[in-house]
This record gives sequence, C-alpha cells and structure tokens, in this order.
Amino acid sequence: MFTNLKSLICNSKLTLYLFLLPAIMMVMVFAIYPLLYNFSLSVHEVTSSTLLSEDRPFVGLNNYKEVILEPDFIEILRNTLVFSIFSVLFQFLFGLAFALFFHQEFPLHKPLRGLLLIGWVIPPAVIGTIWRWLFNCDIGVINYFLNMIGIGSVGWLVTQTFAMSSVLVANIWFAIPFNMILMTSGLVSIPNSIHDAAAIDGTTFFQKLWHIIIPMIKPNIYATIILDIIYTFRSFPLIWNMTKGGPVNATTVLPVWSYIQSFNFFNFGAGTAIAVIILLLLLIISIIYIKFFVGKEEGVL
Amino acid sequence: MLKKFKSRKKFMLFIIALVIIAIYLFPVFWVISTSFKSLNETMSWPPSLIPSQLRWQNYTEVLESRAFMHLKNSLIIGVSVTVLTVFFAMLTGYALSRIKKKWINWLILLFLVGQMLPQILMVTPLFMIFDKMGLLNTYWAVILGKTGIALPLAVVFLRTTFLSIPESLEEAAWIDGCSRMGAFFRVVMPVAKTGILIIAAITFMFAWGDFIYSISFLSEMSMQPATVGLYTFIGAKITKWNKVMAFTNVIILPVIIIFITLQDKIIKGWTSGSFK
Repeated sequence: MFTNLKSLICNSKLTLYLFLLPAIMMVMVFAIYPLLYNFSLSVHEVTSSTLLSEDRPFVGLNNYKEVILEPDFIEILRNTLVFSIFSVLFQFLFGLAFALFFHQEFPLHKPLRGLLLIGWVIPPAVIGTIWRWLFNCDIGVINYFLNMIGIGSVGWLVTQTFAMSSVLVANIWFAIPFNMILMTSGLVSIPNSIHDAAAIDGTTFFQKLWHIIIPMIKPNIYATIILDIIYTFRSFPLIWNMTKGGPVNATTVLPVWSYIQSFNFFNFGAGTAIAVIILLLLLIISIIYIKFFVGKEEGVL
Repeated sequence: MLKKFKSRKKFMLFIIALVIIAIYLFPVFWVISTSFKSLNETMSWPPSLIPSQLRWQNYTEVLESRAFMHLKNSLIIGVSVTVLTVFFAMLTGYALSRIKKKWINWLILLFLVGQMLPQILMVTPLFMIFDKMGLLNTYWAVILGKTGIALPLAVVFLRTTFLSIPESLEEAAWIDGCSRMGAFFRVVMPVAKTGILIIAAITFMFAWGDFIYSISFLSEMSMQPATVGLYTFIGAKITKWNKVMAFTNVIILPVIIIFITLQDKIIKGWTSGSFK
C-alpha cells in the first residue's frame, strides 16, 4: 500500500506538475501580488495613520491628481527622460564601440574584454558611492584631472547644473559592459565568410558597419535597447547613493520620488501612484518603440 | 612584409585595448588606492595616485567596527536567496522543459514578464505585506522578496539548460527502475551541473547587491547587509573616505572574484536569460 502510494507520487506525470508549484507560488505571492496590491494602494488614502488599519478610504484617482499637479512633477518627469535617453544612448554607443573593438583579433582580446565586465558586477548602490568619491568637488580625483588640463574644479554633485551629468556618467559607466556583451553575442553570430567577402570588395570600415554589420545584428540591437530602457527607467540605488535626488530636485527621477514619498513622507498613496506611473510610461515607451523601430520583424525578444 | 604589418597592427590594437581598460577601470583602481591611504593623505591636494604606504589598518578597523557584521548579513541573505531560488527554479525549470502542453507558454510568459518588474513597484506593497506578516526587521522579508524577483530569470535560464538535455537519458533511467524523481536527481541534475552553478552565481551576486528591499525592510542596523551598511556608514563618516573605500572594497571583492572565476559561463547565462 505504502509502496504503491510512493510509486504513484514518484512515477506519475503528477510529479512534473507538482514541480511547477513552488516557483509559481513564490513569484505570485512576492512579485505579482505586490504588483496588483500596488494598484489598489494607489487609489486609496494610505498614510502612516491608515497604514495598518484595514479601512483605508477609497480616493479614486486623487493620488494621481495630487502627484501630477505637484509643482515638481514636470521637472522630475523631465529628469527621468533626460536620464533615460542620455543613459541609453551613450551606454549603447560605447557598448557597441567596445564590442566592435574587442571583436578584432589581437593577443589576449578575450581576457581583456572580460576585465571590462568588472564594472557590471559591482552593485549599483556601491557604484553610487564610488562615483560620489570620484566626483567629490574639493578633493575628488576627477577635479584633479580637470585642474591638470587647465579646466579647473567643477561642483559636480553640489550644483544643480552638473549633478545630472554626474549621475549619468556613473550609470553609463555601469551599463557599458552589459551593452558590450549583448552586442558581442550579435557579432559572433556573423559568419566569417561575410567579413572576407567585404574585405575583398574593398569596403571601408564604416561602409561595412552600416551596410553589413548593423543590419545583421539588428535583432540584438533592438533587444538590447529595450532592455536598456527598462533597466534605466527603474534606476534607484545608484542615484540614491550618489545624490539622494539632489541638490534640490536636480537628480530626482520617478523611482527616487516614489521612494521619497513612501518612505520619507510616509505618503504611501502617492508613492504607489508614482510607481504605477513608472509602469505605465514604461509600457507606453516600449509599445511606441516596438511599433516604430522593430515593426513587424520577428524573432525579437 | 605584409605579415610584419599585420602583427604590428595587432600590437597597436593590444596597446589601445590596455589604454581603454586603464581608463575604464580607473574608478576601481581609485577605490583600492584610497582604501590604503592615511586620512591625511586622503584629504591632501593634489591627491597622490599611489598611496605612500599601505595602511592595512583601514581594513581591520572598518571590519572590526561594522563591516564584518554587515558582510555576515549579506552572506546570510545571499546564500538563502541563492539556495531557495536555485532549488525552486530547478524543479520548475525542469517541469517547464518536459511538459508539452500549449498553456505552458503562458507560464513561461509569466516568468519573462516577472524578470522585467521594477523593484520600486513592489517595495511599498511588500513593506505592508511583511508588516502584516510580522516579518519586518527579519532576514525573511528580504530573502522572500528577493527570491520572488530572482526566480523568473533562474527559471527561464534553467528551462533552457534542461531543454538541451535529451529526454532519452531519463527514459533509460526509468527503464532501469529509477523513479521519475529519482531520475531527476540522479541522472538529470548531474548533467545540468554547470547550468545550475552559473545561475547560482548570478543569483548570489544579485542578492548580494540588494539595496531597496534591505533598506526598506530592515531598519535594525545589526541586520542590514553591506550595501545598506555602507550607505549609513557614509552618513556617519562622510569625510573619512579612506575607510569608506576600504569598506567598498570588501563589498565588491567577493563578487569580482566569483565573476572572474566563472566569467565565460556567467556571460553566456546572463545573455541567454536576457534574450529569451
């Protein structure tokens, strides 16, 4: 009897279906449910006083209205777009350039490329701290180099004008290796015979890049850029560790704002409403991007 | 003649590569350099590129005062998330690779979408959920939350690994009298060993670097992992950059070592997980 039961559990297809459960449950409870709960919170009044009580008044879209009518909203939205657009643009271009460079044959090109990836395994929170030190305006090493070439010291993190450039540099530095690797995996897929044929035709490097390489790695480019957008748009720890969104609001992007509302002001309604806005913007941008650039090409993502 | 030119070109490329790497990795060099300086040397202007002497006390002092405690917390969180994630992802990834039904694609989609979710979207609701469960200020809050978002990548990745293992291998084991579960643990797992190791390394690095969940769910300093420890450490010792950099270095060293050891495999794993 017991052995029968055991063999039933161990041998039947049922085992396979049971295997599905743990991960699905974990993702449902700790990722999907919070996501939905976030929507619900964003249409209720949730402050520190109503945080623990069950009857939180339903306020419809009031939290959204409050957030959007906030005088800082436009500036923060603009910061988010500036941060995302410049990040994605430069990390992609540098990533592609590095991938092309290290794809050439020369001694040790693979291990050397591997060294570049170190920037990518450092936690973003720690990267924020490292660059905060590099950009220190009194004794930072970047200002030292700038003084050496006669530019003089710049108030990187303390002036509203330069703070955004500083966090951009740090974020681009962090994301270059990721882009380089995704582009490299595209480059490896181009057969050598194509390079040889191009070499015989006497094409220049840029002709080859534009007419042969880029069209061939198009699917990789599309996928890389959409991942870049998603990762950049949700960036929080790096900025938080570098500037906390300051000075004033100069580097406050939507995720930073959402966090401040929830955990500094205990205005959880506003915090969750901003989080939903992040998700909606991300969806809209992705859809527009896929529609305009990727079109009907298949095999992407 | 041509051959000489070619090798000369290669030599030039090699030199350029070294320059690129020197510039790119300068921030890491600067962390190490600062971490060995005395406070006087750290604050001096112009800064010295190489410390006049190696001051190891920065490390011992930082480790003894706080860093050791925070690193221990990071290790507890990192290992727990890795064990849970890899174990669950193994089972589910395997099932997803062997069940041949149409609806299975919906599940795969669930995990693909799960990979993209911003943590900032989940942090407030999870804070309230854990508050209700009485799990705030316990490691469990961070471990469970982090496992929930680490799982999707691990599942998708291990599914691909298991797909590459022929089913005939297990079927042979069944015929030999092995149960399905026995076959999974005794035949399939050993073959998938490398894949499991890679995803374990990736998950560990991911959990090691957690910041948002830890800073939100753990207000007790003695429980906070190193990333949060560093953050509050700077708040307290803003001018002692030599100590801050020593702390920074002990946080990043373990992940750099893991990465360099498993480099090629990790790259393959990460890119395949991102593309699927």
